[in-house]
Parts: sequence; structure tokens; C-alpha cells
Amino acid sequence: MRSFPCILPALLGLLFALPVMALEQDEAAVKAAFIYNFTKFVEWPAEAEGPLQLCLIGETDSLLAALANLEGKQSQGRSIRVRSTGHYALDGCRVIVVGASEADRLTAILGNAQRQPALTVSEIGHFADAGGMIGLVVNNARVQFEINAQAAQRANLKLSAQLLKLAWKVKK
Amino acid sequence: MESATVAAISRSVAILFLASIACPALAQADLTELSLEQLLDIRIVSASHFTQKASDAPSAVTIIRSEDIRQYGWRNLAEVLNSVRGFHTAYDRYFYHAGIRGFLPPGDYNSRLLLMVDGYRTNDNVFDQASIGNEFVLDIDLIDRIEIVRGPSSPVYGGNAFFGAINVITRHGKDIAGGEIAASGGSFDTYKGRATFGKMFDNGMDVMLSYSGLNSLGQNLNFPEFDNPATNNGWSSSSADGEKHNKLFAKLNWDGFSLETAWSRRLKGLPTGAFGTVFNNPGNNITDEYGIVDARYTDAVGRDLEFTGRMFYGSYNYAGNYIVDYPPVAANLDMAYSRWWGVEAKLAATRWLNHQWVFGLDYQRNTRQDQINLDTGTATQCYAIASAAPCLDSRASGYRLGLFAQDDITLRDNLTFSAGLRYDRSNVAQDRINPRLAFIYKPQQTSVLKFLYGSAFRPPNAYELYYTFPGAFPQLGNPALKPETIQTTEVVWEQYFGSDTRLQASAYFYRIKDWIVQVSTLSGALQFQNQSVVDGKGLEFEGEQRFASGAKLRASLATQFVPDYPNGALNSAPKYLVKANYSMPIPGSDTWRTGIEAQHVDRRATPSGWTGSYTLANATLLWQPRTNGPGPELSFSAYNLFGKRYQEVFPDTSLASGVPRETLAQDGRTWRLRYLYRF
Repeated sequence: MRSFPCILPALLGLLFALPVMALEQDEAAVKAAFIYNFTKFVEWPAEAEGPLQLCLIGETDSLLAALANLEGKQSQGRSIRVRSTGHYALDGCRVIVVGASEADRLTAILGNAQRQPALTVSEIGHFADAGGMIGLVVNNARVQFEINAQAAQRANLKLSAQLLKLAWKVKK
Repeated sequence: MESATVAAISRSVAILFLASIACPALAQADLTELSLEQLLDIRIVSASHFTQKASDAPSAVTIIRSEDIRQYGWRNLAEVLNSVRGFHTAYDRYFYHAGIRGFLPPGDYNSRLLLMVDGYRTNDNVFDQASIGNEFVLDIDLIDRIEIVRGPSSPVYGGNAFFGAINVITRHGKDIAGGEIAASGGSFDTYKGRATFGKMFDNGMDVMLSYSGLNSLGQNLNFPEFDNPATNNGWSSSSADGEKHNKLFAKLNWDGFSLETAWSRRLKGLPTGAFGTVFNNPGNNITDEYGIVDARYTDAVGRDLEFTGRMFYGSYNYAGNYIVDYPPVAANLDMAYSRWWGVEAKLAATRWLNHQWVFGLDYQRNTRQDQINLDTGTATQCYAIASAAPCLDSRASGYRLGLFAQDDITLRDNLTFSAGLRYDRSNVAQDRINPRLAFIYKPQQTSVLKFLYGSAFRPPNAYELYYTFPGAFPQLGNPALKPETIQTTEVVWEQYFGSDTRLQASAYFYRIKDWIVQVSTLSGALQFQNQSVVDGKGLEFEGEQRFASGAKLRASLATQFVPDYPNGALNSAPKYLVKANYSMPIPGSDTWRTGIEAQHVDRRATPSGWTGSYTLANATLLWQPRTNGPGPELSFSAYNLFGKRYQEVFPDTSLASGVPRETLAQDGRTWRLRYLYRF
């Protein structure tokens, strides 16, 4: 252990030799943009028509706040309506975003959500493994997503091949 | 990735950046115009949002994240706890002792605090100790977050979660995504190094492996109780205060299965002359060695059941080398061997609408709870008692079993009732049933009211029951000890203003019966005895604010009222604690941050009076060109920035100089330079 003083200057030398800093974006805004993009690659069953209701479950955090900005935007010719809701008022939801606050109650929420033809998305860890459809994950400071194709199938949603191709992990 | 796309992305991002200067709202909206492919390549800064999960927990919770640890330069859990409302720590140059909500009996080894690593209980089965100093089994750099829960909040936790539970959650291999090398140097020739490798493979397997080592030469310290020429006028040489540790950690997660193992060994010199040892002899030292193995499996059983099973093994060895002058001078060895294994099973059911059930079983077999004290070398004596036998040879073993159930009932969308029950049985205490109840009410989305009631108990541990020791300063075991019990009532109110401001207030009342405290018997021996009722009550306020600039502020005030001499025994906790933590980016810089913390601790009772209040400030300057991904990071920290001289209470009447001790001086100004490189 006494040899560390020799390592330190060497490491310090390394430090100043390194180029750094790429332009960075706010995590929540990027994740919200992902969720908006997902809506373009999902085919809902025919009976689920009308405006695209984006339902937010959980306490307002930065992601849920960023999603509010999607209100009125168009996706597949339908306009997006954003609303906050509780665990049991999911009628009419086409996309359900589960906030980070709900990690402990995930199983219950997903149980309720699967009665709807709704795409479930969350940034909660292992969301796709837990039965959610799309989980947002951060790897190497980049946002990626995992898909549970089985869960989408159960809810009669069709996810486009392109979406599956771009996913970091697909659970079949 | 083709370079044309890269260029296109850089261009669009550059435009966005310019737009964000001119009009931030527009920039946010514009991100949605990017395609998925483009989004996948955008580097993000981690958003600073509160962990909302805390507000739903049936207790008053504090969450500390790895970024906080880096921004404030904390070196161990004790320094983390010093920043947390209701906690303060005292260092006897060996262990850190945590005062919690006004309770800190001297010599307490944090046995009323459950300390877990990823849900694994690290408290050993001899002292029940929560190790919050450098002897903690895990390197603090490997922590993803720390959840600090006050009170016996959940039936999931057994005996040690008397005042609270700390769950340390480790980072994943995918968070490392490559490797990390960290090196630091600090005051008194303290050097530390760490190498960590972690990766998540394409098949989802996540692995991590880490080694850390520390070596510290220690300080020259002054102890007024030894202020005479024969004992170097009270000055101990730095070699008596040296410290060394090695830690290993390995973890594998795959498809619901998780295997973790950790090992650590810490050697610490004992410069204080405590336990009747010869002052300033570098032969006085203490070794703590922890080993843990934890295997966990989680799987969904059908759509509405989740099963978690756990098997664990733990070992803890303590060896104190004490140089004593009977006369003649002899080496005394004080040891404990602690071994245990166990299983846990938990079933979470969401089968019934509006109910969330958890059932569990938790069994631990204590295969060894041994305490041995003997003289090494030529001596056949034990503290001058001529005998070939060791002074102490206590072998114990046993078990504990817990069964628990909890139901979270959603009464309305904004009202949850949580009822839990825990049944405990063990070889050292009568069977007990303890309830935990919580109402969580959200009058609005932005406010949360919690009403909490809990009861818990802690059976006496092997040290309190069996540690018997002859000699001039004898200690007596007490096999007749009863468990101590606590009943807690708490009201918590949390208010959010937007997503950036949080206020929290909490009022609590604790009633402890049969409190186990070390006291002097009539014959002059030390012994743990059950005390009658002790009440504690307090009010806590905390505010947290995030600023658009990336700055954040957390400030708290805790008033905590516990008698200073309950039943004649000493309790050395402050009545007031004021804390503030502020971290901000250096204006005009994207890569530099500063973190400043200040703590005011009210006076504490000593055997004969008081030791003064104190205010400390710590400051850290952090250079972090990236918060994530490959690259370097550098920090410089100064602790006790203004060199405040202060004392903590550690009464000791067994000093070889014959002068009774009441307090020990704490560290003055120290510093640390830390370099990290991620690749």
C-alpha cells in the first residue's frame, strides 16, 4: 500500500491527457422523447381508437413532468392527451407510464394495466422483466430500452419490427 | 454508426443546444423530433429528481445516492450518517458509535441499528454490531444508494431494527460497464486504492468484482489522562493509531438469481490506553474480519405472486491484542468468533384487488457465538490470577426464527393502510409478537401524511449475556437479561412544491422498556442490566430544494429529548442537531462542483457534567467532466475545515494511569485528494 504515492502522479498525468465533454441532454427530456417515439411504432387493436391517452401513474417527477409537454402532439394521426391518474382509473389509457415512485407497487399496477390495450412504459429498473412492456434503462450515459414482447402480445398490441430491432434487449 | 449520421446528430444537437440558450422550452419540445436511432446516441446528464418511493414508505426515510457520496467526499458510513437528520456519530479511534434520535448510551456498538447490504444483515451474532466505520465490509465507493429508515418500520426486519435500519444497495456491473481505478491520499499518510471491474453481458448476466486497500500511518495524539513523564506526557506516537484494511467484493446477477460475496479485514491500532492497556504501546491493536455469502432468487409465480428466496452465510472474527502490565507486562488476547447461516423466503401477492400481501419467513442458525480471552506468551496467568485456563472461554450457539405478514390496503386512491405482524422465536428470549401499523394519506398529489405505530424488541446478545472477565476492572456477564422492547408512535408530513422542493416534518414518541445498558455493580464490576422505562420524544424538520442551475440544498433541524441520566445510567446524545448540505456547480463551469456541509451538535452529558456543543464544516471540490461513462474524476475534500476542537463522551475508569476518562478528542482538520478513472 505504501507504493500509492508513486501511482498517484502517474494517474494525474493521465488525467490531463484526456479529451472530454460531449454535449449532454437532460435525462428526463430524452426519455420523454423516447416515449413519444414509441407511440409511432405501436399498433393498437381497432377498438382502441380516438385520442391517444397517455396516462401517468405516480408522483410527479422530472420524467412525468417532461411528458406533460407531449400534450397535443400528433402521433400516427392521433393527438396525444396527457393525464395523471391513480392505479385503478386506467380506462381509456393507451400508454401507461409508471413513475419511479411506484417501484414497490409494480406488480399491482401491471395487474390492473393488463386489462387495457395500453402500452406500459417505465424507467423503473427491470421493468420489462417484471411484466412491463418497455423499460427505459441508462447504459453508458445513454438511454436504451428493453422490450417484453410477450407482455405486449398479451395486451393485443403490435410492436413494429424496427422497434424490436433497436431495443437493447427483447424478452420473448 | 456511420459518420454521416454522427455528423447529423452532432448538428442537430448543436442546434438544440443553441436553441436551448435562446429558448429552453423549445429545446425540450424539439427532442421529440429526433428519431429513435438519434435518441439512442444522445448522451444524457442524470436528472436530479427525488426518489418518490421514499414518500410511500411506511416510515420516515432518507435516501443517500452515490452522487451525494462523491459530491460531499464522504469516506465511510459514519460521515454519511452525520449529514442525516437525527443522527450523530462519535469516534473512539476504533469504532464509530451512532447516536440516533437522542439515544446514545456509552460503549454501545450500534446493536440497535440494523445494517444491511442488499438486504443481507451484516450485524454479527456476538455484539450485534452495525459497523459504520472503515471496518464496514463494503467499500463506500461501491454503493449505489443508502436507504435509512427510522423506527422499527417494517415487520420484515427483526431484532436489530430497534431504532432503525440502513440498507446499503450496491452498484451493478452495468453501472461500472468496464472498470474503475480509484486512488486517494490524505492526512497522516492515509492512502487508499481500489480496482473494480463490472459488466453486463448480452445474455443479461451482470458481474462485478472489486478490491480495495487502505493504509494509514495514524496521528500523534494527546490524552490528558496520561499526562505524566512516565507515559510521554500523554502523547501517543502515530504508530499506535495506524490503520490498514483490505476488502473484496464480488457479485453476479442473472435472470432473477443473485450471488454476492464480500470479505474485509481491518487492523486498527488502539492509541487511547482503553481497557487498562499499557499506554502508547504499538502492540495494542484490534482486528475485525467480516465474510459474507448471499444467494438470492426472485421469480414470478403466475401473474400476481412473486417469490424471493435467500440463503446466506456470515462470519465475523474479532481479535484484540492488548498489552497489559499486571505486572509483569503481558499480552492479552480478546477474541470473538461469530458464524451463522440462514434462509429467508418471501411471497408478495397482489392477487386480491386493493390488497398487497407480503408473507415471509426468516431463519438464522448461529453456529458459533464464541468469546475467548487469554494471555499469550509465557504467562499462565490471566490478569494476575494464576491459572492455566483462559480468562474467558464462552461457547454459545443458537437460532432465531421470524414469521411475518403485511398487508398494504388501498382504501381509496389517496389512502393506504398498512398492517404488519411479526412473530419471533429464539433460544435466548420468549416468543414475541410485534405489530406495525401505518396510515398513509395523500390529501393532494403533493402532500403526504403518515401515521405510524410500531413495536419491536431486541434479545440480549452473546456479549451482553456471557462476557465475563476477572482482574482489576472486572466485567460480569448477565444470563438473566431480558429482551428490551420499544414502542414507537410517529406522525410524518411531507409536502412537495413542484418537483424541486420538498418539506418534511416529523414528530415521534418512543417508549423503551428493559433497556439494556452497561452499569457498575456494587462490587465495582461492569455488567449489562435491564433498566426501567426510558422515554424519548422529538421533532424533526427537513427541507430539500433543487435549483435549475443544478445546485441542491438539504437542511434539517432535529430536537430530541431523552433524559441524560435515565435511571442513573448515562445517555450522551445531543438535544439539538442542525445540519445543512449544499452542493452546486461552480458558476461558468460544466465540470466543477463544490459540496459544503455544516453540522451543529448540541452539548452531550458526561459522567460529571457536559461536553460542549460544536459546529463542523466539511468542503469538497469535485472535478467531474462526465457524470457517467469513461473518463477521469478528481476531488479534494477538507474535513473539519475550521479545525474545531471538540470531544465525544467515552467514560473509562480502567485506565492504567488511574485517572478516570470522560471524553475523547475528535479529529481536527484533515483532507483527502481522490482520483478516479473509469474505462
